[in-house]
Amino acid sequence: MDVLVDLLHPTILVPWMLAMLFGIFAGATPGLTATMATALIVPISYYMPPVAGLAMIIGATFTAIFAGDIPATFLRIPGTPASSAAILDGFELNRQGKGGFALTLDLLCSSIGGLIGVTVLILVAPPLARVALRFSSAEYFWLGLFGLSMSAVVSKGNTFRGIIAAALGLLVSTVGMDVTTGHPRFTFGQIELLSGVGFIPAMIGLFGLSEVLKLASDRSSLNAPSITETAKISLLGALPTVWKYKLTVLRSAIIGTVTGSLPGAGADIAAWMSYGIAKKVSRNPEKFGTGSEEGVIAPTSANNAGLAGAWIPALVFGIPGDAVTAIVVGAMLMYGLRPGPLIFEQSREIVDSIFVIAVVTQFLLIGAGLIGIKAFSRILRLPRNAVMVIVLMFSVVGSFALQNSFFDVYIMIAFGVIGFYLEKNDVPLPPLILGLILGPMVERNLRVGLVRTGGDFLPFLTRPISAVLAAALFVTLFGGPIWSFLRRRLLGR
Amino acid sequence: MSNKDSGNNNTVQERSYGLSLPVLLTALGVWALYLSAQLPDFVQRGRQLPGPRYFPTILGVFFCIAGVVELVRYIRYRRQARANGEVSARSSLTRLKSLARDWGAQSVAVILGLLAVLMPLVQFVGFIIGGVLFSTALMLRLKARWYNAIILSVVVVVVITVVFGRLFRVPLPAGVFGIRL
Repeated sequence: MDVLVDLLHPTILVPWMLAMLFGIFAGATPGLTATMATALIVPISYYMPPVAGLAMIIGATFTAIFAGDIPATFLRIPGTPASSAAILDGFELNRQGKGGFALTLDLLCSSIGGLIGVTVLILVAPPLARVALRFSSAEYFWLGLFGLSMSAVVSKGNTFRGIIAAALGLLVSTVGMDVTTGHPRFTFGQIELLSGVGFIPAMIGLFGLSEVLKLASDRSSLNAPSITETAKISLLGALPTVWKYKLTVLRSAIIGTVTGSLPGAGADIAAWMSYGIAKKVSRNPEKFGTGSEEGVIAPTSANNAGLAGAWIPALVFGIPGDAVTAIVVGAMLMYGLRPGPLIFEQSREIVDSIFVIAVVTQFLLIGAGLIGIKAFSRILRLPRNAVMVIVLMFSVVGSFALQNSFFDVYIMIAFGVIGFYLEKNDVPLPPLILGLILGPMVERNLRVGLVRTGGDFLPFLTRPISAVLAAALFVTLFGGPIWSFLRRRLLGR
Repeated sequence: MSNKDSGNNNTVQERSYGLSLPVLLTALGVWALYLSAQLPDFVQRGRQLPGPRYFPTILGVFFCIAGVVELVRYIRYRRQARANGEVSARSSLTRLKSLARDWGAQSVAVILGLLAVLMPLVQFVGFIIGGVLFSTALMLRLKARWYNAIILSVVVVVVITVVFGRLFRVPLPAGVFGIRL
């Protein structure tokens, strides 16, 4: 209770709220990411006392992860990679004139998902981290493939084309220096490609530029506004839907927390896995991808919960769960904190403050999120051609800003053309970006695992957790067709 | 996928089952295999282990197979469409000519052309002037009124310059005129 009272002091509360608004802005702007928002907050927070600084960092990261869903819903451009799953149904609801409802639902579920994730973090951090330690190369390999298969199966269009998209992403991820030998692959002599194809400019191109190209080819609606009215936001209006799908919220949040607790997995995989599972167990799976409320609830509950889950290995072992928590671990070291098993004994007060900050942030997220949704929807009442130009300019500068490099802008343009072509041919884009993100993890763990086993693939199938993940992958990809085949045979008899 | 697109008369089915996708997939697969073959082996203590070429080779094989699968689907679709009398009578050349005349397709080409010009333009005249010129040209192409185009372009460029240039300290090009906010 004392901790809570201290946190509500203006010297902590004011910078905390400002950081959350900054997180909303950064997360909602294509080209700025939750990782960037966190990285930019850290130097400012350095001048604050540790508790205020940690409040700013935690506040900015959770709001940035939610805010990535705002352009995903309104413009089909994920503000952060973790928001790419939110496009599937959020954008469809927006096209039906329910963008405000979709985002209000998103906001509530992000808040509830984050609360559940933080609760799990508080209660089960040590035992969960022990399970995560048992994951070796084989498990991470199958986990990466499982996440990709989910995105391929649940995306629009047929599954095979989703797999093609995922494989394209995996191929693009091989560009750069080989992790084991340091040999350049597919760089064609370009120094900029030695570190690989940046997934942020690729993502901006795939979703931002390709959407602009698609809209530009439709002459009739150029002067019409992108949305016809400022988003109607009603928390009370969205609550019954949240209650109706309370099991989906709970399940997705737990999936998100567990997935987020696996180092390197992150909120991206959490969102997709949660969406895929929700679709599989739903009574109305055919509605997913057409504006299903469950399709909005599942990934949005999971990605904020995933962020909380990423704190588990970060606090307990000092191993960050994702890029955002990697920066946070660095900030904690800056404050003289030592993440690891002893942090609970040596810095108990700070750890308690972190827990309380994380809980309170989920409630403050609602206020900050409402401001962000309203502000963004006002901008979108401009004519469509104006919005397209704004998106394009932010995409160009956002791509440039990452490394002050025009090469990233060219990457963005190339992927914009690729995305435009692929969508014309009914190949979904989200698996491609996920393949790009997960490709290094999948390849590295496959090769490291095979080196350990002397080239023998059998241990990839016989380790217990690996076997479960491999079976889940098989069921995801082939379960549907096999079941249909068996049903036809049985009914035929 | 919407039926209403760039105005060319291809149906959704025709586009979903075009010949370009299987051709490109197969070409990509062959290209990946060719480039992967030039990557070195990874030998450790006399044993060949998965090296730099391992994963791209697997993917190259997949794309070759995927190309064949898509080609088979395309052939099946064409046969079925012919049997139903649905196949368009237009030749590929006629379709290309129609595409070249299509306003939507031209807009796409204009946007890509402007983007290609934007980078050297910005480096020469600076982001502020280059950005305003680019946005104005684009908005005019997208049927905006000329005064709206200029006003919005100036506002957007100023906002971006303040946000990225001042707040995030991204060094946007100032060009030969050295104009910064």
